Amino acid sequence: MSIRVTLDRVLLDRRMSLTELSERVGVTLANLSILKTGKAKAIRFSTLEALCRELGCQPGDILIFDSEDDGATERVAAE
Amino acid sequence: MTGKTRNSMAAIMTVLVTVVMWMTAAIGAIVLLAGGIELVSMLSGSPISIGAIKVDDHDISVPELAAGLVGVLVVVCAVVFVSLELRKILATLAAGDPFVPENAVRLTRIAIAIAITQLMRYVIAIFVGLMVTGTSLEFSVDLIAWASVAALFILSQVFREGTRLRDEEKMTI
Repeated sequence: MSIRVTLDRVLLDRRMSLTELSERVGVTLANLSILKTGKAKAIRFSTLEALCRELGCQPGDILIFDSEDDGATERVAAE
Repeated sequence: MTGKTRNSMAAIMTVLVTVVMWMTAAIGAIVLLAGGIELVSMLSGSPISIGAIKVDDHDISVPELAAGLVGVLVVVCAVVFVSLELRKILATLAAGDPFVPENAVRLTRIAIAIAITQLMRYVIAIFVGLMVTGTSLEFSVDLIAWASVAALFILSQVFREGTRLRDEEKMTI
């Protein structure tokens, strides 16, 4: 998949743990972990909105299109 | 439908399917045994005695009997196979998650089994028509069986797509 999630990098920049982000956005730690590790198949607009709000970033900061990466990342179907 | 109701429904259906499977297998075995003895008796040309039962009165021809026995064997095998597949589907229902890709494959297998049974009917009818003199070729199409085959194929595709969509939904964050 050509879409990569760079949530770990953004979290590192913000010095925020995944647990803290989970509490702030109201998404379970397990689901955020799936998103972070690139196993998710899609992301909801509502989740993306909450992540951007709490991390103070743009969707493009979390999601990157990499045409050379056709491996184990996730497809993002904005709903 | 609650989990308990679903489980009891699956349990009842499993029992029914198992009973049908074993009854068919038992009746099929008896018919095949009796038919086999009759066939041996006809081929050897001498009557066979089993206890008080004496097999010496043949009112059908060897090809007819052989075709009939093959037909019985095919039907019994199909019923047992379909029953086993249904039991596996019911097991997933009892476990609380019938929407798995394997069930789509199982429905396709059931459809193929019914289709093969129907095709074998035609093969046997043609065989008897060709081998037995004085027998007209009786050829009938069982529309209900073929409709079941079509419905099962469609249902398996729906199942396959449904499980794919559900998996995608599960992995949507």
